[in-house]
Amino acid sequence: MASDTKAASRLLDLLRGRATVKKDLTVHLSDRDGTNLHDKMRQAYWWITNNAIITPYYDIEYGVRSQHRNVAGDEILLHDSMSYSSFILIPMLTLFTCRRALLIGGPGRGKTTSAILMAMIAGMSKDGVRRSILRGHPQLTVSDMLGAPLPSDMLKAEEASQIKVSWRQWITERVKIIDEYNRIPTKTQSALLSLMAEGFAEMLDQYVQTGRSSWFLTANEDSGGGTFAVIEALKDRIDVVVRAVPFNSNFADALVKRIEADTSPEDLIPTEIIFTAEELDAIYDEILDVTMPRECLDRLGYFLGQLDFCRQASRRFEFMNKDTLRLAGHSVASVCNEQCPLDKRVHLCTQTENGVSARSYLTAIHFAKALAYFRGNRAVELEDLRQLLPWILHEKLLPNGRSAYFEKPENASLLHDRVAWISTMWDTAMKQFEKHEPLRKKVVTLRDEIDKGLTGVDFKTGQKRINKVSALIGTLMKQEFSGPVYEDLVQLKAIHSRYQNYLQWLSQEG
Amino acid sequence: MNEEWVALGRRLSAEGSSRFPRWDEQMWQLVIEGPASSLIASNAPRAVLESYLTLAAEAVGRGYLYPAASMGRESFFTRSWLEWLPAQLPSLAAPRQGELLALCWNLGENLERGPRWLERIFLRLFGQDLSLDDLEPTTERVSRLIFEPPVTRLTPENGRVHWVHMGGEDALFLPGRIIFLAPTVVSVADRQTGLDGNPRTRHSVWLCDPPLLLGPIPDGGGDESDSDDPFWDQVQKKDRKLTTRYHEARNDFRAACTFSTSQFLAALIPE
Repeated sequence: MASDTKAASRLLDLLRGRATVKKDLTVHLSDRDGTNLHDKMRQAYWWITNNAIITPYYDIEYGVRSQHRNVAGDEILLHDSMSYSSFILIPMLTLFTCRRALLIGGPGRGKTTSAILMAMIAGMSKDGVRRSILRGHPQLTVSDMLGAPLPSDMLKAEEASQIKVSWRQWITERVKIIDEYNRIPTKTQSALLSLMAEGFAEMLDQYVQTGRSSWFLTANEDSGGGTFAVIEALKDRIDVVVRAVPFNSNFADALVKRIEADTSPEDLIPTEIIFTAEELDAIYDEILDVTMPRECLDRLGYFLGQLDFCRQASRRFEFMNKDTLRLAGHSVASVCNEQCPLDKRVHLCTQTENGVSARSYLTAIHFAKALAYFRGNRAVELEDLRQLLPWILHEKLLPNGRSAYFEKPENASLLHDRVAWISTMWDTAMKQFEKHEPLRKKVVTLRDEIDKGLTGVDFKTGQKRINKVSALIGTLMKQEFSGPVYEDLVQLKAIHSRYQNYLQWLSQEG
Repeated sequence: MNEEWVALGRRLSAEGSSRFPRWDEQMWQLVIEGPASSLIASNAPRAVLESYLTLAAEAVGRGYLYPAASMGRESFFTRSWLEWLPAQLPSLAAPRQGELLALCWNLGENLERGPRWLERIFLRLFGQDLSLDDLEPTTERVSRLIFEPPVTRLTPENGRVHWVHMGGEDALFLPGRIIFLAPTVVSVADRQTGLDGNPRTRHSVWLCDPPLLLGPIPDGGGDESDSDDPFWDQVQKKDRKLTTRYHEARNDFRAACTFSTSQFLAALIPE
């Protein structure tokens, strides 16, 4: 009987839907319920790829690689799974994760068009987007950028709070576009930094909030060499870099069609791929729900963690990092020499002038979750990180051009292609991780133990644990003192200190 | 086709291309020139014709329709909108015509949103010459066959072995792990894996008499049952070929196993 009811309800479900027939025989379709946002996101990507931005460069690639190589050593890799164009996909992931992207490349490569399309699929009108673009130029003042006090109020007001500020509309838009940001003068860049970093602007004791938003900045050169040098802190606030790609001459016929139709891609965006603010928020929530597996996080930490290490920076354990050199006005290039026993062909620390901040970890996690969501997965895969990290670290890592690593002819070209360089570093790190993993697992076990808390741990157990930590430190000290070993040692020393402090407290409490 | 219908076709095309990212103008022209023209020529009521065209435009925009002659996948939408509705509506009473348009849309959209294997079973059972006037009872019959647990329970004694050649549709397929998707539907994973460690492909099989291959499906879903089931040792006594099993799965009504050195799936169905 119960199964009859179940089958009957399934039958009703199958014939029931959004189509209903009216008395006049017309069939009415109601709006689709429970729109699949993931599907809508993918449709938006493919529409832009197929209709709006002509790019045959599918450089975010998945699957098995087969290789074609000529006698001169040039190679092309073919993948047997889905591939995507970074020039379109990364701005989209930026839009859906409310991050900040810098689009770089020569003039006329579609940087601004790409940013405009992102704003339009976020529901802004074409005119609205064009009006709200902040265009960088050498005379751009803070008032030009943020707004100005109302002149009438300036005359009448007896105190600052009576002056109303007319804020520029772009500040509160969901998508903010700043064209040629490297042409903005330094003083105005500082005001922009506050806006990007803090999410609000202040003028005459009045404040405006930026709200949840995505930022798209464009620059004509990736060296930051516009009219003004871009301040470091502003660069650090940029989460990801998108490199514009050159036009491929085989697609000239598409340009002919575009001229003949006398339309631009922005005029043709289908309404079905335009997202409401609520949908954008819902997608963001769904992205945050994607799982970041422990293994991926471990490997990400293994890679990023060792970049900051410099054995030559200090004799003191805690300060063996590149920040020590930087604060002293030295470069890695000046100390990374034969006095350091580490093999420059193997260890990654030699290749960079700097490490990365915690912000880079956050960005990597955000974007990896978004990419996994876009691909229809519920958990991040290692390959997602591999594909994204070159774009996340593009402007954040500076190569040490004098490293012996780059002196090898096959590595020299990596100095002018950061995407290839960072990918190569990642691949090297992953190979090394396999060897180092058994030791790292032991460190993780000790960390898990202390992370459970010390409540109820008696003196004897604490002593036992501290001995285990000391023993593992001893084992690690017998290894080559490299970046990954240093990272683990820092962690073990911290665990040791926490146990030591706890035991001290226990003995004082009696 | 007179000017009025041509104008409606143009309007729907313009609306469709500005609304849907998947709008396929070629597919729309195929609808207009083929089934829509024949339906218009049949003098069906104006409201029905308008609804047919409007729904067809929505189906083109959503990517529900495929050119009948292409290698595209078979779908209920394609069959109903391009074949069954234009051929059968004119012979039905006017109120029934509107009703069937709505029913076909709803069933088609539900099957599009459901698992692939479900649509394949429907299409196989509807056959080539589905009578749309019988759509409700036919759907009920098929639904019951799929969703209702069968009447007879499977025992080692009443189970009859059916051999299903899994290499029939995909010559490289090596049957591996089995998962039940419904009481009588299983998914069989290819033993060959990609770099990501996941099976290269999965095929679904409807364990009816005789079993039907339902083609590849995107992912497994469902729960994997425990292997090393003593049930199989008893069945093996009846059929010595059931040795060197690679993986086996069973519920109260059906059982299936794959073999270490064979492209066949053994399906056990009560006699």
